[in-house]
Amino acid sequence: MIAIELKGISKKFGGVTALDNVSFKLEKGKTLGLVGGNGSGKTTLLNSITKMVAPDRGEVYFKGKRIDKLPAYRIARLGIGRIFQTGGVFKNMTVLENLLVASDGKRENEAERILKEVALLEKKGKKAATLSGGQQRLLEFGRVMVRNDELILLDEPFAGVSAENSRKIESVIKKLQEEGKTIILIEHDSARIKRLCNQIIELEKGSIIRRE
Amino acid sequence: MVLEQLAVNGIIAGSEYALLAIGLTLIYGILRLIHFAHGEVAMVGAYSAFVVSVVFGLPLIAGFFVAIAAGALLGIAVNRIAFRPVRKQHILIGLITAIAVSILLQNAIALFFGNDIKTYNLGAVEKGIEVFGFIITKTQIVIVFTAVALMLLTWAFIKKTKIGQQVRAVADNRELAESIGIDSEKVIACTFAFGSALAAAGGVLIAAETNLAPMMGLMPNIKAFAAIIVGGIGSIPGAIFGSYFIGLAENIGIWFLPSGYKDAIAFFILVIFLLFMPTGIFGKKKEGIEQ
Repeated sequence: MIAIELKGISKKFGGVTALDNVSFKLEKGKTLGLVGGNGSGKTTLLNSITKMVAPDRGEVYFKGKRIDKLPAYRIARLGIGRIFQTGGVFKNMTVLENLLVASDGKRENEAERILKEVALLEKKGKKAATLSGGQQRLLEFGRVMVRNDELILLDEPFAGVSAENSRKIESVIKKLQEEGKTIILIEHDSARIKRLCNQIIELEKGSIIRRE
Repeated sequence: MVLEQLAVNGIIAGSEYALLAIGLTLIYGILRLIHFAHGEVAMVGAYSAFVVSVVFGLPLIAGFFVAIAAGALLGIAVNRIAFRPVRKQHILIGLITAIAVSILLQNAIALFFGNDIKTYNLGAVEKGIEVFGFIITKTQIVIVFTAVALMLLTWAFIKKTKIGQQVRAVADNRELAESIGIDSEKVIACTFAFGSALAAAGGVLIAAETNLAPMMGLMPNIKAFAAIIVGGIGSIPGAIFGSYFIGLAENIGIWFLPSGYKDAIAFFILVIFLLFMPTGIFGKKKEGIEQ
C-alpha cells in the first residue's frame, strides 16, 4: 500500500525555484532518506506535504486521498507528524503538557508512559524551554508517539544533538520502524542514511537527481 | 484611615481593570494585537445588561449573564468580520482596524441609546457599610468578589481545559500548533469569545458602580493596557498584578496629588514602564511584537 505519493510538486519563492516537478511514492512502513546540500529543497518538500507552504503546482496523496487542498491542521489530523529542525516544542509549556496538548484525549498516565520511553519522565514538570536541543528532539518524538502518527517527517533530527541523545533518537526511530510507521528522514550522515532507510532520494536545486 | 480607604478603592478599581486586562493580554498573546476596541466590548456588555435590567425590568444578575453571552458573541463577530480578513497584513493594519471597531461600536450604541448617561436604577444612593474600619458599598463588595471569581475561572480555563491548553499552544507557536492538528482559527475565535465575555462582565461591574455612556469603555481599556504593560504583556498573572498596581497607584496617588491627576498617574506609569521596563514585571525579554 502506498502511504504517501507526490506528483509534480513545484514551488518558487520569489523567482527562486525551491522545488521543481518532484514526484515519488513511498510504501507504508518504509523509510525514505532525503539527502542534498543546503537549499536543495528538502525542508520545502516536507513543508509541502504538511502544507506549511502551499505548492504552486502538483498533488499530494496520503493513503490514496488527495490532501494538498486541505489546511495544515487537517493534514496533521490524518496522522502526519513532524519533527522540526528547530523550534519544534511549545517552549512555555511543560514537557508533559507538550504531549497532552498533542494527544487526542489521551490520559496523563499514557503520556507519562511515552515520556519514559523517550527518557524524559523525570523532566515532565519542567518547561520545555529548559531542555537541551537533543531532549527537545526526543520530546518531539514523544509527541508523534502520543499522536500515533502513521507518517513521520523527520527534519535533521540528529543535528546539534549529543552522541548520547543521538543514540536514543536512533533507537526511537528503529522502534517506530518496527511498529510499521512510514518515515521520511532528512539527514546528512550517509552511514546513518544507509542504516535507517530503504529508499534514498537526492535533491539538487529543487530537482531529484538520484534515486536508490 | 483615609490612606487605607484609598487602598480599598484601588482594589475595587484594580478588580475592574483586571477583567479587561486579562482579555487584552490573551488576545495579544495569541495574535500580537493590541485590541483597542476591547473597552467598547465592555461597554456593549454594560448596555446589554441595561436592556435586560432596565428596559425589560429583570434583575441585574440576569443582565450580567446576558452581557457575558453578548460579549462572547461580539468578540467572535469582531474577530471574524474585522480582524480575520487583515490577519496576514502588517501589525499596524490590525491596530487601525481595532480603532475603527472602537469608533463603530461607540457610535452604534450612541445611535440606539443616545449619548446621555444612563444607570442601572439600583435604587437610592447606596449607603456604605463599615468593614474593618473601611467604608465599602455592597455593590463594591460584589465587584471585588465577582472579579476574583472570574479570575479563578480564567485560571481553570487556561490550565485545566483542553481548549485552554490549545490557546497556550497557539500563543506559543501557531505554526507548530497547526502541525499537531490544532485549528488555530477556532482557538483564536474561542480566545476572543472568552476575553470579550470577561470584558463584558467588567463593563457591567463598572456601570453598576458608576454609570453607562457610549465612551465608558475608553478609559478603563487604557488603564487595562497600562496594566498589561506593567505586568508584562502576554502574561495573565502580570495582567492581574498590573491591574491592581494601577488601581492602587492612581487611588493612593491622589492622597499626594490633586484628584484631577488620577488618570494622569496611570499614564505616567505607562510611559515610565514603556521607557525603562517595556517587558514589564512578569514579561519575558525575548517576547516582542512580531512584525
